[in-house]
Amino acid sequence: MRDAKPGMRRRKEGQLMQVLRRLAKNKMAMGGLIIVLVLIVLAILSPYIMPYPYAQMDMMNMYAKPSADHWFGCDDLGRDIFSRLLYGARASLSLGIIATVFSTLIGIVIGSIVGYFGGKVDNVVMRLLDIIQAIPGMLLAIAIAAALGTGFFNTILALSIGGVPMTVRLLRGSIMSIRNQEYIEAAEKINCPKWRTILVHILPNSISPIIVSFTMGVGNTIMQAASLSYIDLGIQPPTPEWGAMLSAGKAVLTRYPHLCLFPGLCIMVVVLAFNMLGDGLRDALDPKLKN
Amino acid sequence: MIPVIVGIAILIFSIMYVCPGDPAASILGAGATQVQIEAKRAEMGLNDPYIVRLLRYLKQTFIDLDLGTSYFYNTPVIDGLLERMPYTLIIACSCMLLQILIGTPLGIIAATHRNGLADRFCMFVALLGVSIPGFWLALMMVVVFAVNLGVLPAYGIDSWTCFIMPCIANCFAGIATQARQTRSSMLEVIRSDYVTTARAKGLSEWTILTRHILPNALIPIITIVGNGMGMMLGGTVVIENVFSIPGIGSYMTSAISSRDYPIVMSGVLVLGILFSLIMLLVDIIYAFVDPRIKARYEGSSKKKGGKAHA
Repeated sequence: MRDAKPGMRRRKEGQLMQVLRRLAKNKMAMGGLIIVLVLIVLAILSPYIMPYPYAQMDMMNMYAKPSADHWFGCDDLGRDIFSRLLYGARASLSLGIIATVFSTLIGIVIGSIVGYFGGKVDNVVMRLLDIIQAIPGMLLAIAIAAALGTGFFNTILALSIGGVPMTVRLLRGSIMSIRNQEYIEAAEKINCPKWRTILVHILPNSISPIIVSFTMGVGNTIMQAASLSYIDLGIQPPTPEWGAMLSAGKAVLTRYPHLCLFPGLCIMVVVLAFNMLGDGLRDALDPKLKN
Repeated sequence: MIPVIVGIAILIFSIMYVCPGDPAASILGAGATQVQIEAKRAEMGLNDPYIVRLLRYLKQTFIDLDLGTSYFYNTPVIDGLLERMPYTLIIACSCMLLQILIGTPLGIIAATHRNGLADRFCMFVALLGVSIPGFWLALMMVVVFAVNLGVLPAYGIDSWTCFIMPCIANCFAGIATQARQTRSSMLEVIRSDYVTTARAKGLSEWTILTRHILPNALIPIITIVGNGMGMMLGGTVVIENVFSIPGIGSYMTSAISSRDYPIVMSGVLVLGILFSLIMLLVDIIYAFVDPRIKARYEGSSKKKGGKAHA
């Protein structure tokens, strides 16, 4: 997509600005965007702004309730939950974003090939993707994560594969609807190389559903990553990841619910923010849908 | 349909094939010598090439209906799965019912009161619903309803009350998705010409809704029900763990910690097959409900149709 931009800039800028202006008018979407940006900045700055080191144990404050010293209380080893959440945002956000980028990129490559060439390639690839899609996303992630084992990169792989078929389907549908338009035919007739036709003419005109599904996908992936860590796959304690913190807190849930309350709230807020932004983007990219 | 099921089996076998760790060593335990492991490997046929093992696995799975033996319990996996299947099905099916019965009306209310207070409220709840992790909602419900209020049991399967919290926690996201989808598909229909015509004829709003809008709007919603079932099946795996319900999900999660791969993989296989059967059912219902698709099937059955999500 990035390669496509310079060539398109002059004609596209007007439309891009329009989309951005429509987005800026949408309060929900802007709220989502602000939350996402604030969280990313907090996650990056977390080592410098944490009130306590995230791994510092304090036996005097085991299971401490939320207070002025420890905003969100302390966990089973007296570690400050607020600091751990701040630092854990790095793992959770980067998992969600990287895994979604990964699956979206693969999806874009496969989807544009399949959508552009159609025919036999389309048939074979789509049948293969049907198989992947026949397994519910969460279960596929569990199967892959169980087979590969825990760890950051294995988890990314487990989370990203399930998302590929949906991206491919979306992009394929979107490409097929513009495939027979005159400007594509014109590009082919002036002997524009196939890769250039796809990158410069087809993708910029069919990418908008992918932008929306990417935004929503990040939120969804963060949730799946948390579910994986919760059932002892994915990122493992003592790494401060939100799902792993929930998993560690469930043993003492009945007596000290605050160990589980705050990590879950964090997941909820992030996913909510991404969904709000995604909803807004969808309305901004395709105003017809809204009315 | 059958190719997809076989495809799922091949995919799962391949995932298991690349999985590091030696099944023979896992079965024999830590005390086994190298010679014993080698003997076991030969006995299990682990030294054969990929394609031979794949064909053997497919034959075992589909002809002998043998899903392997659990490393840990040393019992056939299929028995364990069948024994636990009812609980998972109860939860998944009641979630699906709740999703349809609550989600659809919410979406309809939101669409008919578009941009009004009811719409805002329904859509906010729906947005919240898709953003709350089901298992965290389950944990918080345990704290509130089982520990603090003491009105519902926190775990177990002793009575029907035990299924209330798992079902609600699991279907919240489904209800939300259903409501959002119903709303947008209603909105597409609500401003079409035939609805204006119906209104101009002086029909009551109720008749317009039930006779003109819903039959047209409900068709895309059926697909969402099918997809929702997939989400429910994935969700039950984690939810069962929270409430200690002895379904397929908790069978799988406990197998994950003991590295009992046959159970994990067979669990995914069985739930995957179940899901594709449901999607097939959805496609059939789809063709049944939508006269356009039915006509196409009856006319020329040449085109491989019925795929809703193109």
